[in-house]
Amino acid sequence: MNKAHLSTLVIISSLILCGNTLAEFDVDDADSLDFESFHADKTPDKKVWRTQKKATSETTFDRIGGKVAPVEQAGAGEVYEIRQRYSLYRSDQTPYSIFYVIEAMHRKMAELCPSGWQKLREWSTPIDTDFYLYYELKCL
Amino acid sequence: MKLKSLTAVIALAATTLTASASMAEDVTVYGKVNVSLNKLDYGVNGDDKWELESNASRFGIKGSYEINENLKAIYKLEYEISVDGDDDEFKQRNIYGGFQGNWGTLIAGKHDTPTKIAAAKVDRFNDLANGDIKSFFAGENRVGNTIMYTTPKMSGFSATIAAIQGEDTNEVDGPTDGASLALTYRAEGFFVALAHDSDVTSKDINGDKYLTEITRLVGEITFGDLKIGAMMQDAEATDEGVDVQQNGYLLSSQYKIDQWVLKAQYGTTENDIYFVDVDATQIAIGADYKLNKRSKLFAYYSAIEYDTSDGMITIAPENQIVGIGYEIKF
Repeated sequence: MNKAHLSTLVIISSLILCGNTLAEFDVDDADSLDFESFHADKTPDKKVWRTQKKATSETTFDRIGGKVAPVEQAGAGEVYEIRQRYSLYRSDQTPYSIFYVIEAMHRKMAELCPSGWQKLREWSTPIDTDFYLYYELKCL
Repeated sequence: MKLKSLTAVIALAATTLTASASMAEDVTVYGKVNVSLNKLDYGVNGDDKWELESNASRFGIKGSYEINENLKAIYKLEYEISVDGDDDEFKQRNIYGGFQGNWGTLIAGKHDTPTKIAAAKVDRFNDLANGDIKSFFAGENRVGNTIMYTTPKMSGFSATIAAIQGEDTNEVDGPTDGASLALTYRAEGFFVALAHDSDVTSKDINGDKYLTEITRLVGEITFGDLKIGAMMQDAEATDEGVDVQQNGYLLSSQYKIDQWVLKAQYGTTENDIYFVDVDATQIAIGADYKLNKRSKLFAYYSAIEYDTSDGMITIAPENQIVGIGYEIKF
C-alpha cells in the first residue's frame, strides 16, 4: 500500500467512525473567533414534547422549542415523549440517519432521566419524505 | 504527499479513533470541497490560461470533553486539501488544543490572527483566486507558535488577543514577540471589529515578508437580505531599515434573492515600497446559487489592477479571473 492509498484509507476511516456525529456546517463556524459557538454541540434541537402524566389514555402534546424543559422536576415517574426527524435517503430537511437520531435521543433520555428510564413505546410517522422517530419513556 | 503530512494525518486519525471510542458525541468531522474552473488573464502578452483550483477546500476534526462543570478541553485539527492535486494533499490550517470555560477560551497552536479573522465577514470572495483580499491587503496571516485568549461574549462584546512567539523571525527575545488583538461587537444585523497587529510577519504586495504593524477597522450592516461591509486598514513594516507602508479600504455587499446570492466588492490599497508607489484596485462581482443547505454553485469575476510608479515592481499590470465552480460542505 503506497502513501496515497494509506492517507485515503485513514481519512475514510475517520469519516466512517465519526460519521454518526457529523454536525451541521461546522465549516462555516471554523474561521471565526467565536470559539464558544464552534465548540458547542450543534446537534439540532430535540423536538421534545411533554405530556401529562399518563393518567388518561389521551395524551396532550405541547412543543417546547429548543431546550429541554421538563414538566416538573425531572425524576422518578415522569413520563416524556421525545421525537426527532430522520431520513432513510438523501433529504433537504435533515442530514441525519436513523443511527444518528437513536444516539441523540438516548443522550436526551439520559439528560431527562439521570437515574435511568424505561421505554414505554417506540414508533415512527412519516413527514414529507422523512420520518419522525418517537420514544415514550418513563423515568426510573 | 510529504511524509510529515502523512504522519500528521495518521496522528489526527489516531486521535479520532481513540476519542470516538470513549466519547463519540464530542468528535466531529467537518469540511468542504470548493473547486472552480478559472480562466486567468495576466494582461501580459495575451497570457491566458485555464486552471482547476481547490479554493482552500478543507478537512477538519474538532472535539471537546468536559473536565469539570466549568472547564472543557477543546481541540481542532484542520487541513487544507488539494482537490485538484496541484499541491500536497494536506496542508496545515488552524490547529490547536486548549481549554474553555465561563472565563473564555485559551488555545495554543497555529491559527489565523484575530486581525485576519476580523475581516472574514466582509471578504465576499474569501479563498477564491484573485478574489480573496489577501491578494492586495497585508494582514491575512496564519501564524504558528501562537497562544490565544478569547473572552466570553459580554452584551455582544468580545475580545481576542494572540501572543506570538517569533521563532521564525529575529524577534525571539520575549514570551510575546508579536501580538494580534481584536475587539468585536455583534448585535442583530450589525458587526464591528477593531483589530491591531504588532510585529506580526506579513507579506507586502510583492509577497515579501516583514514584521508589520497593522490597524484594521471592519464593519457590516444587514438590512433584510442585503449586507453591506466595509474595511479600512493601515499597515507599516517595523523591521529595521525597511520602508514599506500600506493603507487601503474595502467595500463589499451581498444581496440574497431566493436561492441566489449576488455579491460585489471593491477595494484599493496604496503601497509605498521604499521609493516606489503601487496602487492596487480590485473589482469583483459574483453570484452563488444555493442547491440546498450544504451545497452551492457559483460564478465570479475578479480583476486587480496594479498602477505602478516604477517599472521595477515585478507584478503584472492587471490580473483578471473568471471562475465557475461549486461548494459541497460536509
